[in-house]
Amino acid sequence: MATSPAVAPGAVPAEPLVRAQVGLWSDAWRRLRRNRLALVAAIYLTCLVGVGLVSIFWTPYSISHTGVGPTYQGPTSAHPLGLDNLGRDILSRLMVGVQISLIVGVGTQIVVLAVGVPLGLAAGYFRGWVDTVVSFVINVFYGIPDLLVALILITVISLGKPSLDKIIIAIAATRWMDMARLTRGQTLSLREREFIEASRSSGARPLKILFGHLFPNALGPIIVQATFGIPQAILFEAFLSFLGLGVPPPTPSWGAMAADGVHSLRIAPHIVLAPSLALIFTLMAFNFVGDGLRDALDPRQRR
Amino acid sequence: MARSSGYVRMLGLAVAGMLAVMACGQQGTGQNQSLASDQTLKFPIGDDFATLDPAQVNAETDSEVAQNMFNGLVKFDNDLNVVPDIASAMPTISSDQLTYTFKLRPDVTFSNGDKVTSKDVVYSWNRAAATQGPYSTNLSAIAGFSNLSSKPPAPAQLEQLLAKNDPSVMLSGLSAPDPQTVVVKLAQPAGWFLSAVALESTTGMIVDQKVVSTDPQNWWTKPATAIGTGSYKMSARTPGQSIDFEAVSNWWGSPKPTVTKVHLDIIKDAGARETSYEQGKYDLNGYGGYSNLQVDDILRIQQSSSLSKELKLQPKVRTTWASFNLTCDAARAAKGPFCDQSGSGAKDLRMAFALAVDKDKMVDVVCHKVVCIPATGGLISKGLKGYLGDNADPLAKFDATKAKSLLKSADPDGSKTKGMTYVYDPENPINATTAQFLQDQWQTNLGVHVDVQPESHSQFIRDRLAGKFVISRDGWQADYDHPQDWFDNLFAKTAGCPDTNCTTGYANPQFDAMATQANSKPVSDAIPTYKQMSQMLIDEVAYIPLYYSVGAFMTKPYVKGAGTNNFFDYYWNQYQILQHS
Amino acid sequence: MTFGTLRYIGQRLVLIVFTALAVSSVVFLGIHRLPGDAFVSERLRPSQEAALLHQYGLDRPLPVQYADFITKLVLRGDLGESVANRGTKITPLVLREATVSAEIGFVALLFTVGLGMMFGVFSAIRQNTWVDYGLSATSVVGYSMPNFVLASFLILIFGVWLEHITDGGFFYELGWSGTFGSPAEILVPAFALGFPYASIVARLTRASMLEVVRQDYIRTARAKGLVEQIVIVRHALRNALIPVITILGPLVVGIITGSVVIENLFGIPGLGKEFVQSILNRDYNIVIGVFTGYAALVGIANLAVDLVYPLIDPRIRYG
Repeated sequence: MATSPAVAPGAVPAEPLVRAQVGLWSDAWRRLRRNRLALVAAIYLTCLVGVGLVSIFWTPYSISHTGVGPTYQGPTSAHPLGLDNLGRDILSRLMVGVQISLIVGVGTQIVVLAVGVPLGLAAGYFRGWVDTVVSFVINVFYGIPDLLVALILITVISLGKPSLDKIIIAIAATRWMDMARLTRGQTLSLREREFIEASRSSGARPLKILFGHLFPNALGPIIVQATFGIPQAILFEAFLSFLGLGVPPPTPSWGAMAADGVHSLRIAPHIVLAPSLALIFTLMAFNFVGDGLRDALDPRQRR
Repeated sequence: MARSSGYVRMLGLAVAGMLAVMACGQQGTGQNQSLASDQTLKFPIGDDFATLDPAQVNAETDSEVAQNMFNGLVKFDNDLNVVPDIASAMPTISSDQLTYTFKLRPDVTFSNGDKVTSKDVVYSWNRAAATQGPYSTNLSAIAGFSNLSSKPPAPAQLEQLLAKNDPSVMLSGLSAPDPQTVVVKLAQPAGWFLSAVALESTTGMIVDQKVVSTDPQNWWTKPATAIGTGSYKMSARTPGQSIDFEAVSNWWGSPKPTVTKVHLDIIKDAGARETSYEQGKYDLNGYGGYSNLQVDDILRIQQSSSLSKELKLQPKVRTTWASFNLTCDAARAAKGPFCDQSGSGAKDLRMAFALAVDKDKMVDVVCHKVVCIPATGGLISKGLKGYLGDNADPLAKFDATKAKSLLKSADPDGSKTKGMTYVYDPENPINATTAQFLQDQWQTNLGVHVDVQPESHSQFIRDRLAGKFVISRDGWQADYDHPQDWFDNLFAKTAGCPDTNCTTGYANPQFDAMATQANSKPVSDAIPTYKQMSQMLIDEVAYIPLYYSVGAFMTKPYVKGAGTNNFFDYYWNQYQILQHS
Repeated sequence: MTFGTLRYIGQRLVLIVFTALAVSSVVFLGIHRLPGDAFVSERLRPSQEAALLHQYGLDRPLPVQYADFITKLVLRGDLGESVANRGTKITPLVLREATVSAEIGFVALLFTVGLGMMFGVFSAIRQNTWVDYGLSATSVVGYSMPNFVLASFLILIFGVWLEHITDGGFFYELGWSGTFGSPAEILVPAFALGFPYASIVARLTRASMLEVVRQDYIRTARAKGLVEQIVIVRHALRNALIPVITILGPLVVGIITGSVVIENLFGIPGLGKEFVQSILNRDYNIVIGVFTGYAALVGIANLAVDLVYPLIDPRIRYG
């Protein structure tokens, strides 16, 4: 739940990109391909998305079918990951859990991008009172622990009836500040660059400058930040599920499955191990891809 | 002959030695185990008190603790018989069943030394009735109860009114002709009256006016003013963390307490409570109203040879069922296909949903055959008066074929059962698993998709009682062994049906008439009528019976006298802590 | 301590107070919007419930309740009484539980920073070896699983198994004694709370150390013949501290978030324990008290971090 190391408030902001756009991306791509860890992680994530897509249409058993076998049963040939406390097939639930986790992770970041990037761009480019207001709001949100924000939001907007989209909004509300501050920092540095001067003096409209020039050049760190934000969001949802505020049952989010499974750790460890391992591998994969992207896009690190 | 006598002596010593060793060995198993020198009982509870004031007590934990702090005229013993407590003997009842005369023991005192007289009884019962708390209806049989305002005065004002003997806060049927006598006149005969005033920790209990009036709202919160007649009194309290009690010296009742101190820790997580118990930090677990050990822990304990000896599974008189909205009128927000106003097939539809649930499988999957048994004998739990008998409830049967055909005839195109939601409160984990199981059953056995929606408890109860749910979790835990406790609170007009305070909206004048009649008779005469009322509910398919709860209790082998019955945990003054390592 | 610094501290404290008040107000409005109240029970008739609401002043119009609340809070620091646990005064409760939470949180932070920096330093020294990969993997795993899973395993290993192995001689005993607990009771929960974030610190430290090790002045120091150990420790570590201090603020927030789960699982009577339950109970005043307490804790922690900053990096000044 902390900021990515790429953001260091108060210290020197990350160096803006000095190369032309085309060169950077192909150069970054080359470097990313050489990063074995990130490559393996990316392949894993692709397979995961595949599993998620498959699960939309088919799972070995229905995820809400209770009592297909004895409750708490361990892995067998019919049920490779065993059965949970209600006798449901864990493998099937794990597969559908891919959907939920990815939706939560990516959905949260989409909202964060949609809110944080424009605000950061505006604050960094126009400065003045726009910057003051945006920075003030950012600081207020930073001043309140993220759990409080999420909790208040969830309870208030769901009015006691939780659902997936409300959870996404609540989690996004705790994370958008990092994105906004990052974008603002990038914008502040970039706006002094010659190519921005050039387009400004050639009469380009602010919107075009913001989204046509500044944004693409700030894209690198933004992508990295978003990639790191996905595992944070998925973990946060697990945390909310443990508190009873996550996706309502019987939706099988990995976090909810782990939260339920923790109670039976001593008699049926497979119930908590399956979703926990899924979480570990997937979150590690996102982290490695994020690391790889950051290294690939960082012009200072030459390999 | 020195040598032989030497041998004899040695032999004698050896034999004596062996006998001594055998006797020492016996000490661990026999009855002459001695008491531990430190008679401190420690156990965890799940939450801090809402209130310990007998006029307001409601929560199970609060009740289990407060029962050791307060006494009433009569009480339930461990076998659930009503026996005298502060009264010296059972009351004499007039032939018309309207007048109860109680004689009090002369030796009863509060823990601060104040003597208890009939004035205290009159004060306490008037106060409890006028406060209009959750259990004030326990005193509703007394003449004058209906004249009390349903909008009670604020606590400070109430104390002033009581001090002045203001009639607006007094039960006209209650009087104290002399310091050792209390005379109670009922408005009409009530076979349930003694059970109601025997109910531990609530409105029948006696409190000290001198102390209560010093802090009418919060007198029970701190040791200095939490005064009662019980065998234990509060000695220390850290809100949110722990509470300590100590035995009252020279207590007037019996058995005299052996345990001198009781220490309660507040630990919210059920797993943490059990782990701490197994680590040896606590002497009991599951007591104090939280008999919900995690099912996973119970299964593990049963598999352990040492721990399973400490486990006791005790049926608790709590029934869980699913309620339908039976009445669609303007005052009730829920409409739905189950109310009779929706059409003739409504009852068939209710029956279809009831028969589609495999109750035996539910006990297996949801309760893991441990924390509940199927509710096959009606709403009133097994072991209570009014229980219909095992397998007497046809609604408890499982018949998927019949369910499907009923559905087909009542809702051929599936339009009526579209978009239904079963609502439950997730605070108790078993409610969530029950909901998911029910959803699966209706999908698999009936082909109907029902959404399940958790709603936070306080909101859930209020909405349910306001008639906002088409179908929802419902349940009741008996307070005392009398069917009146069930019908008057759930279905009869007294409960508020059809519109206020009534989950189902079930309103039936014949049912109400039977209730009034049965309530006035002694319970043994009234049972047939109560059973008929249960049958009416069955014929009406007013509910889907699910299960009766079973509580789990852990007791260390060195704690003697601890135990629990279907209603309450035994009083602390019966416990003893034996020597242990 | 210059006048400028004092003025800065003063400004920040005022900001903390205002933030806490703002949080109180927001939470006040939010929590009252929730349907249901603390008194609802299956036995309570509507008129009885109305009487209880009236007794606690909960039926007054919201602006009146708010005015009363703010006045009491600002003038006397009085957060009122709990309605779910009636008669419990909230300010002393929150103060005591905040102390407990701060205590565990601080030790957790020591674990985070201590373990994280250790991992980071060793990873950097032994870059791209098995030590590096192993330490990185360990810390990332800690960050990639829900903290309640980690906590449950720790309880199982140190609470249950260790007790069996040592036959009750040496193990972690769940729970909390007194107000401040005991070292034995603090260690395992603090570790569970702090370790997940150690990987962030480790990564920062490693990256920063690698960078610094490359820089010229380190080369100069080496050329001067200083023992390598001292080179690393004195110069590199000090510089590596800067980015770590930077993220201390968010780290504290993360630890506070985690404490809600950890305190529940380990039976610790801190603020986290009150958190979710009080919302579910609609115990308005406790919710407001807990949230305000947390906001104040975060503000103070952030201030402390910002004050530590100049000690590490002399270039940074305030006021």
